[in-house]
Amino acid sequence: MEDGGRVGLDTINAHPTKAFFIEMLTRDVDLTSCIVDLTDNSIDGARRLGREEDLTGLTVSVRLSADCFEITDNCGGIEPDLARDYAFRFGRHPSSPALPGSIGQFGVGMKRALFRIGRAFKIVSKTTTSAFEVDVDVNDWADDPDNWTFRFTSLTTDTSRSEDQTGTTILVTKLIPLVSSQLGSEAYQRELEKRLQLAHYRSLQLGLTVLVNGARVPTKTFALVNSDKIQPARVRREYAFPQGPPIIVDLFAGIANSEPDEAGWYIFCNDRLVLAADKTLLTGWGTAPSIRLVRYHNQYARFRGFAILTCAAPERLPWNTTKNGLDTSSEAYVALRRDISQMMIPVITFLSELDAESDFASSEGKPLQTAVTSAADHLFELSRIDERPRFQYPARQDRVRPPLSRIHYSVSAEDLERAKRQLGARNNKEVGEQTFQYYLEMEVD
Amino acid sequence: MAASGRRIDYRFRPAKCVERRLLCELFRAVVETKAPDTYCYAGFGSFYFEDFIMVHRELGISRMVSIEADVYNKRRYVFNRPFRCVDVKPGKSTAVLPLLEWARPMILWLDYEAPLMEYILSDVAYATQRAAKGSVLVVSVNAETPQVVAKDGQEANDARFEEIRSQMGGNYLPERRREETLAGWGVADLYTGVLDGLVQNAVVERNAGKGLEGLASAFRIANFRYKDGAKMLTGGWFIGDVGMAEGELRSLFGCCTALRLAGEGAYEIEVPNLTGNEVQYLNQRLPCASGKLPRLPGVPAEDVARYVELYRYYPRYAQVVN
Repeated sequence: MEDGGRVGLDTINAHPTKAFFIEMLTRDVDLTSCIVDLTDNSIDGARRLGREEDLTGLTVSVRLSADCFEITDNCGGIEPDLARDYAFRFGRHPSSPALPGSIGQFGVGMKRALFRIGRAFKIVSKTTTSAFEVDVDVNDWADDPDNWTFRFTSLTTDTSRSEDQTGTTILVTKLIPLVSSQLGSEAYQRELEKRLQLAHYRSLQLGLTVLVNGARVPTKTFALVNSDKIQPARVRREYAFPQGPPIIVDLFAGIANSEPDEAGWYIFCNDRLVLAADKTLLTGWGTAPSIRLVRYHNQYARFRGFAILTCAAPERLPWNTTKNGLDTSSEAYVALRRDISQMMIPVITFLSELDAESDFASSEGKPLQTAVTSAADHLFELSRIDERPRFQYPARQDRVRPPLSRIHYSVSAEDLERAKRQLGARNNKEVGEQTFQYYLEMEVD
Repeated sequence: MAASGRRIDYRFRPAKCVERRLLCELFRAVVETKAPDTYCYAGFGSFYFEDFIMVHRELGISRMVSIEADVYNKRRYVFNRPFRCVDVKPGKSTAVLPLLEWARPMILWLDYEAPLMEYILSDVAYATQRAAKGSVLVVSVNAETPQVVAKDGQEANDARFEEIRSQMGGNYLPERRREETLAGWGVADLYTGVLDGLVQNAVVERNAGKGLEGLASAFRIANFRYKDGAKMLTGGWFIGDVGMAEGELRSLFGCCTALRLAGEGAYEIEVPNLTGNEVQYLNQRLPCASGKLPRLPGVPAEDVARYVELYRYYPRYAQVVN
């Protein structure tokens, strides 16, 4: 029996089982999040090298196949002391050395990822002064319930190598059957590329090279319309707590191209994207017992919002352990949702008015539509956007309600098509409007 | 706001007029703690701007924003504004609120005529989150019992509850309140509870990430009910430091007739219907230090008592004969 040792009659056994970590902890996390989690460790390695702002020359390479999974980086390697005392512990130990601004923080990502992918793993890591290798068969390890250690297969601490020769390679074999079929598929490879592109958008911008089966993941650009008439909001907030360092939050809200798949909020924690194109209650859309915002609809497909949260103490950030969502119970989340809800209102108001404008008579003009059309080429990358407390858009015109009447009639489909071609009209409504306008101009005084 | 601007002339709604003056007394208590020009007043001026006239004359506030949902008649609202300092901003309240100067302390009176709709709750949450310390937030809504026909087998009260739920959205209305009676002032009781819950929730959101400095609370200071035609409800909150004690609140608003702190119940404004002669007769005998009420021939003593309580706020009308 796996009981973690004998207990007395007056004691209750609460010892963990290995199955809990191998089978249970891996249930609630998707494969892609696990792989992205492993790449986080590489980026944290780069941070340990003091390379926060320039990642040029650093590479994280992921290789997928139906037989094995491999990730290799040249990001400094893992010190044997870190491996011995902390990196393989289940859960972050309180005495674990802090890495300000890091992505890894829960002490669960790497182990969970390895167990999620396969039943055997080998880690080879080289720093400038040391090297080690760990080779684990998970099933063998699981069979020994009281042994909560791994053994170094090899360990040297007196070598000397240049920084560009350092790095870590993790090879996972004996893949879980479903994982094997996923990793072997090209469609999955593309999905992973897209996730890595979004998740590490900032690191890619800073020069990191990410490869998936040798193909380079392109840098993603996030941009907002910034013209003389339409300007995005950009504000900086600081979330303070009774103790510890504050979270610095840079918020952007505005519009871009009408793309339902890309619309919504993007939330970054320490440069890692944790939520992309979110249009759910999580980011304030839809009814809530506070500020009520509209439910997402495609008329808001131009909406884009970005929240970039940075904190020296990563455990304060409102991300969940799989880093693909938000921890809604955290105080930082409550503050974030408050601020993004407030920021959204003017953008949503504008997009609603833009949509309503199509109901006006064409003679009145469409100032908002004109402003959007003329701004289409004025997309600014986030870093080029000035601070501005509110989204700006053309002021409401001093409107006089146009007394509109609707005309409704049918013509033969053939005649309609001929007229449409002649007029260059895009739809039947335009045919009606243009023919009526023509009659007014030609026949009415 | 728009439609009502055509329907009702606010100047002849006596209870509303009394409410306005009672609110002004509460506003004065906070405005006098700072210079009037630090404050901004925002409200729904409609065509008559009665509240703006009062606030500018009585309190000296010159930064004023009137929110007008009737976007097609801006020119008429601008023509009717009583002072140059009133900035008419056309648009729905939800769209215009973000345009206000929230860094300043604010007297904000969201004087809706609608029942407590979802957008109103959202506006109140927004204002509570953003109003600077020292601000007063007031919201007025129609608290009539919804006129709905119960479906077969449905209790009338249940049908009313469902109607209110559809107006304010399920997320704001706790299911546990379904059993409360919605006749008489029952809707006002329900609304009061929902508004208090909403405001306290908005305070929690407001304070998130503010550390130990800058934490605020919303203290209830007003809870009016009256009926000029429809039953109306007005709630008011003062945004102050989180540690503010009840004693401090009482001393800040000590002189205010209608101060109602949390848990104190509503202040019902009942304006007796008196003639000009009767009003003049009573005024000459007020205030009555003895506590003995004057008598008026044919007028019930309780009407006289109500008048004595409200005489300083009672509207004065003059009939013009032509």
